[in-house]
Amino acid sequence: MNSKILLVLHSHIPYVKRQGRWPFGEVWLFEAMAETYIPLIQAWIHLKDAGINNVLSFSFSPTLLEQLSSTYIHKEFIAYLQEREALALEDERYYMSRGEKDIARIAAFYRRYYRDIRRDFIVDFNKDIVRAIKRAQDEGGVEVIATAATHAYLPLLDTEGLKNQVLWGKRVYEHYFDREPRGFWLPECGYFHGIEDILIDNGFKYFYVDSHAIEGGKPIEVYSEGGEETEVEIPTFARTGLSTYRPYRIKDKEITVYGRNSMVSHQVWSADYGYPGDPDYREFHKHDPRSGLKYWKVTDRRIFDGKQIYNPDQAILRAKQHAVHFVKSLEENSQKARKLGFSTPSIVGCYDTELFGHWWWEGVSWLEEVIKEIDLSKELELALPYEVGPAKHEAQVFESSWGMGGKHYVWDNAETTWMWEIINKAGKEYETLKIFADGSDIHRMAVCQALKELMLIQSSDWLFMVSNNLTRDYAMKRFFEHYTKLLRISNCLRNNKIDEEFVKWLDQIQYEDDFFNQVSSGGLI
Amino acid sequence: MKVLLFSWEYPPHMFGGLGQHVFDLSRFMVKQGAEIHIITPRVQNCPDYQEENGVHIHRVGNSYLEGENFKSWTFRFNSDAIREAVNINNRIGGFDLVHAHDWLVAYAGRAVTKIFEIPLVTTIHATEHGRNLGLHNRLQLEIHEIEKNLALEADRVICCSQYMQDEINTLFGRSRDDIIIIPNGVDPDIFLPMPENPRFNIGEEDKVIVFLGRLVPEKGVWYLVNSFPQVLAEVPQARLYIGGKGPMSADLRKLTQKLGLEDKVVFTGFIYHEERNYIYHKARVAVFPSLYEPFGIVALEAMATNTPVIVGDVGGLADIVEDGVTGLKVTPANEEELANAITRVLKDENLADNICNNASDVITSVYNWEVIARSTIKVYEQVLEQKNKKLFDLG
Repeated sequence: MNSKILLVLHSHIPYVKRQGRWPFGEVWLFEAMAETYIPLIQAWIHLKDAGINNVLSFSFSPTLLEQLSSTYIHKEFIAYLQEREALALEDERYYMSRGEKDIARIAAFYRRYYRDIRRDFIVDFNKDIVRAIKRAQDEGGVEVIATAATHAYLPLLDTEGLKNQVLWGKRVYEHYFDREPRGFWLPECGYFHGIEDILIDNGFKYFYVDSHAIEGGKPIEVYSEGGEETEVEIPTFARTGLSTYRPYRIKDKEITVYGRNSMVSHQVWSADYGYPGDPDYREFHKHDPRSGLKYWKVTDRRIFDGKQIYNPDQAILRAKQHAVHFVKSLEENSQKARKLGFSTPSIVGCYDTELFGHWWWEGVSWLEEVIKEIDLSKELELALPYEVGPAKHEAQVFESSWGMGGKHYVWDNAETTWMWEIINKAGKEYETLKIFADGSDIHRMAVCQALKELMLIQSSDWLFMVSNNLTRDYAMKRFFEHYTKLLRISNCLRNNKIDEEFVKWLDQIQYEDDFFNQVSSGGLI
Repeated sequence: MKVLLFSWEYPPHMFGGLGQHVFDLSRFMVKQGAEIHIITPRVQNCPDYQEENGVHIHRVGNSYLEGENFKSWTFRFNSDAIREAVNINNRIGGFDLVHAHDWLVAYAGRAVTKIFEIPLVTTIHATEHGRNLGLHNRLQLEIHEIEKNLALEADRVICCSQYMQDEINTLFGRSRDDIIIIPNGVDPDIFLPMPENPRFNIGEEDKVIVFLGRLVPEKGVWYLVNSFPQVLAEVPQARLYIGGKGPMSADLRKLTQKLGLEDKVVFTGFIYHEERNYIYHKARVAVFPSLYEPFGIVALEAMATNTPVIVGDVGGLADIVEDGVTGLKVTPANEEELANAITRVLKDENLADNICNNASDVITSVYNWEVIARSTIKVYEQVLEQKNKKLFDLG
């Protein structure tokens, strides 16, 4: 029997709709749509049409699903694509007039690229990316898994918050995919003892953790580029003698856990050894000051100056070579596992979807080649979690995440302690305000909106941005604004000040933060 | 008009000049008919709510503990301030406007005005870039970013001098039209009380030169000590009183010893209230030879006590003092020029008298809290008018 390769792509964008466009806000979503989601689904469809065994698991965060389904976003996305196309055309003319043909050629490529994406989006997808994903799942070959409602970092959340995050994650999934989800993606692979009970209560059958959570040892340490001020001591977890080559049943519980394979993750992610840092690949950080388009290659990832002009053909060739190399390492990995006594080892690779295309421009081509190569391999085959069969062995899993240090540091450190205090206070505020609500429609609407604001406060994104000092002000602004909205609702309910002004305001914030609307009735509120 | 002020400092919670500023501004605005609420951190032995001079003071959160992570404490305070603002807002039927003082309350100011859809006015008293003569570490860059976003998001920015207007305009890119200069004020009455038993024994013959301020390089006190021997050569009865504390304290004492001036220079440590008044009362000249100074409230205080002032020709000080009319200005870090200026004032009594008279006029006409409170309320009115116009235009 061939080894089973389980590729899991986790997709998430925080809720940015109507909360700023550029440089922070909706453009994050548009970039991911144009550079990752659409090309990736197109590649998946092409491979399937070509009869290639093409099996992937995806998770889509509810905030992302809601935004992808919004007609407002559809309209804005098309405008964004037209804007990019026009900018590329301007660049093309500008660089042509200066005799810089190499750049002009890439500009022409971008112009066509954004035009084609617009066509695909409107014609092939009928503007509905989620429907395309649903179709892929219904036809077989893709398994979509659920995740927490607003991508909260679960290990540090209070119990009520956890229950809401899991339940609403599931509800949104059911709304869009019209079936019960089997798998649950723990945001950031954040695991603690007890989370499985809430997952089981909601009917989930499996979830994923990082490799050290199962095997022990040193965490993969995904984000190794912390500055000196954020340096963290990497703990070593006790060796367990268990292996990620097989799934496990959580001890005494009816739920399966899959561990990431550390080699497979490292090769793609690592800043030092990973593929995306290759000199031939397109440089992510440097962009044209006029248009924002990117015309340079990594060249040398340690230095920012002296970047050379990007050569797309060379880069695609490199992506193919890397794909071959990757599948070869998978085969070696698989043989190693067999020597250890695993007759049909599972190898689990988990990645952020946006890595492919958005961060790593050639990533979609690379993935496509990997799938073709695995299809040809005599040693390997792509598989979905339920095809691996029931877990026969039991394991206890370490409290862990896939972030730097392997535990909670990235989301819980000196920079974010105060945020957790507010998150907890917000949770208590919500629990209290519910008591003051009577059964009237307006009270019910107010409570629903309060829950949405609470869940937006709980998004792990704000913590991540503040820790990493990236777009920090945007994150803090959002964090404080949602908190203020929650407090205003709470205060009005407590003092029974549901006047005309409040109703008008509530109406407006329902418009601003308008997600999870279809599941506002019933359930754990 | 109902106005909410967010301020990190309010008496008795005082570090720099901010607390005094907010104290005076608010009580004088109340005199002009405004309803003023201040949200400020809790202080030991102070009530959570208090009405003082007609100002409503609300204290929230925990007072800052030495050694605590200052940034965390600040943001936590912001969240408590927001909660209190929401409560008061509902109770009093809605604020018309929020006025946030400095970056420490930026997020509370921004969030509350955004969610309640009311205008935000901010006073930027100093900038992180100015305080540190550049930005040198992560914390400073972060504070700079917060200041910038506050300055850009507020409907109007108030600052205290031409110099600060330039700084806010160039650092943050906010248009000059939106940055209103309203100088700081000083209340001459507070300098009248004298101590019963003064701590210092100032002789009748002594010609006292006084410096008050933190002992840090940007205040230029080093140059003052260095220039003092030249002054003594001309005016042997001259005595130098240095009031304040700070990191340069030990170095300054060493310098004094090196120059052999121990019995002519007095380090008083931090002095305030009656003792400060006493020193000013006795002083023949007050010297503030700063290298950086957003405003220079100390110069105004000296002027309010009828003491002639000599200041470094920088920042807000340069705006306050008209050379030869309300004081003397000297090139920063120029010891020779400083010594000459001091000698001139000590020797020429006519000049000293003229300067004091002119300074006194300016204090009553310009740096007067009644005038300042009126100008501030005018800014509020403009902002509210603009908002109403916008609403009207939107239909």
